[in-house]
Amino acid sequence: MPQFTQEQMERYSRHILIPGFGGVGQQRLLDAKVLVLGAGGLGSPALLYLAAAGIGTIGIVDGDCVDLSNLQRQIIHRTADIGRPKALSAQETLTALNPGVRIIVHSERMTGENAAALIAPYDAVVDGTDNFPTRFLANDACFFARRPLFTAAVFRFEGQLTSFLMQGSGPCYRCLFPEPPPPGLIPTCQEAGILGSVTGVLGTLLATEVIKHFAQTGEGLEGTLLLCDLLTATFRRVRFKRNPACPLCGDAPAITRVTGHSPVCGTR
Amino acid sequence: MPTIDVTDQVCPLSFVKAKLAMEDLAIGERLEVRLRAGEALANVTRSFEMEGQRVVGREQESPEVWRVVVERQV
Repeated sequence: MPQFTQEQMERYSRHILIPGFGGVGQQRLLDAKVLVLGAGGLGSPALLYLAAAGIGTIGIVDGDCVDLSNLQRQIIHRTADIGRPKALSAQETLTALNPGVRIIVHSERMTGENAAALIAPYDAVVDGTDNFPTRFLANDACFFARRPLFTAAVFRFEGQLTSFLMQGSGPCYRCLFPEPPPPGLIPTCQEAGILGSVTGVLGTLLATEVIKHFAQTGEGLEGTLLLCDLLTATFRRVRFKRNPACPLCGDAPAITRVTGHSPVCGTR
Repeated sequence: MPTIDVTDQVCPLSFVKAKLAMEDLAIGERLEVRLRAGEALANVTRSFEMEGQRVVGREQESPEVWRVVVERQV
């Protein structure tokens, strides 16, 4: 049986009370190691809920510093954190929220060179990045490392969300989108704008999918793309399958190793 | 039959502690829960029944304390 301290029993009591979750589910969360890419709009709520839920080890990868324009949506940071490394600022907030979880700071960008080493110690990866090269890099690295990937993206009032189990078979992100769009085709969020609470909804959904995965309860989004238009409060589910012509997980893959994408967007 | 004492807890932690002890048992095994009369007695038995477990016995130990036997069903 999971041996909980009185403090843990109280802190996680509302999880333990859920039928089908219980102490067994909570112990699985405490044993989990999750790497979150980006402590920004998506990463903030995802990190807050993962730490609050008691995910035992959480890594944060972010090479940026907190900017005033971040604070409209990146709710893990405070005004006093402007100019400080985001991964460090996020760590402080999370440790204050739940001192019982281990937070590991990676104040760097994920690159083709460091991706495999960053991901290896973790059981799953949450993609809260803000640019296509890193998004594709996360997909490729998780595929080769066989780590489940939970990914979301936001744009103005819209968002999308899905999960990939990455147990050697696919589908993967490239089954949906084979290649990154050319630089400049898709406006970045500093060009297009984003409603802060939209990142909150999608980041919270990310955390929910991660928690369900580790607690082994419910149904995941594997093979399903959730599309959210929050301007009209509409959610749609679109099924997708592994693409046999996928350059990564297809029958004759062109990509056989993680390559170094360099992010084109220094989004603030 | 194992016994769990939850007289040191308030609701809903009395049930949380009892539920954690129940998770150690196999289906069909029984747990004796020692709990306080009143709210804890009512809540813990009701919560176990709502989860699909079976309350198979209850006995008053003192004016303040009850012993309830619950059999694991799910």
